[in-house]
Amino acid sequence: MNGDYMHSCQQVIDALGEYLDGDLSIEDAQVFEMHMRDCPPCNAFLKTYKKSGDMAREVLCAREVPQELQDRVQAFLKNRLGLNK
Amino acid sequence: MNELDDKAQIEDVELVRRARTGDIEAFEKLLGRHQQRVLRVVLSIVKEPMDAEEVAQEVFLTVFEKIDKFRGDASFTTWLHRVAVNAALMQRRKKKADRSVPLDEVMPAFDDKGMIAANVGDWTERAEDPVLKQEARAVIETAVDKLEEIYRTVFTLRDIQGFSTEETAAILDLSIAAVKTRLHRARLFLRSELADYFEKQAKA
Repeated sequence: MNGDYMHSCQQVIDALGEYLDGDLSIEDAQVFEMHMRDCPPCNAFLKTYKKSGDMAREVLCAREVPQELQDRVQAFLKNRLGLNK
Repeated sequence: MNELDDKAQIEDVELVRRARTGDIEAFEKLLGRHQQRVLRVVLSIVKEPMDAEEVAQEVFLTVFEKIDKFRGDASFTTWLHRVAVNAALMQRRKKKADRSVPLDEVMPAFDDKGMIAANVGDWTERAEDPVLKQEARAVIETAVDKLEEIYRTVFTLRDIQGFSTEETAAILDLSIAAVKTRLHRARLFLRSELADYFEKQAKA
């Protein structure tokens, strides 16, 4: 694959996820970055796309498994399967 | 995969081998290593702790009963999470009306040359405002809940629970390309919902 296909905003936005996940080739990533430098709307789209992911991770990863749930599952395993903990 | 993952996988293989011979202690250790993550994944799909408890019980019983049939074609983690995700999805389908929305309008408007034809606001600085940030939490929770199951599950496993693209594909029995496409669509939807929220706030 080479970067030729990434001339339009639409093509660049299609590749956002792969760019952020490090899945683009070096050549494609360079073309992607060049487009980003010259295109404020795409740049704003990239920043907000990345920010959304960061915010979601912050909110949803912080969800703890309630201790009561852990205890109840542990008790079930102990009773049902004869595990010792 | 890093060295720690490699080491964990080798230890899993040994524990699975012992558990298959009826070694309860090995099975206990095996579950102990994965229980927390399985509970997180299940809870992220079914939401209610009571439902998660029911699903987790079913998952661990299934794994206990079928461990002798686990042939090691996939890693134990993949197999365990495949059982867990399937059970959690079944439970969610049973309990919840599907409130998903179609994923249109998640892309900006393009002209006929594929160039962006509308303003794209950069609200990343506004998102640091403590009050807005707090309110945005609910926007995120609702947005993820509104995602169709095929997108939400990929997004949850890949972006929230931290499974790799390959692991997510193996757990859901999807191609790598399908995982990437669904993940991108889910992220676009989330961005679009947050953009709507922050743009409304800016006008208020």
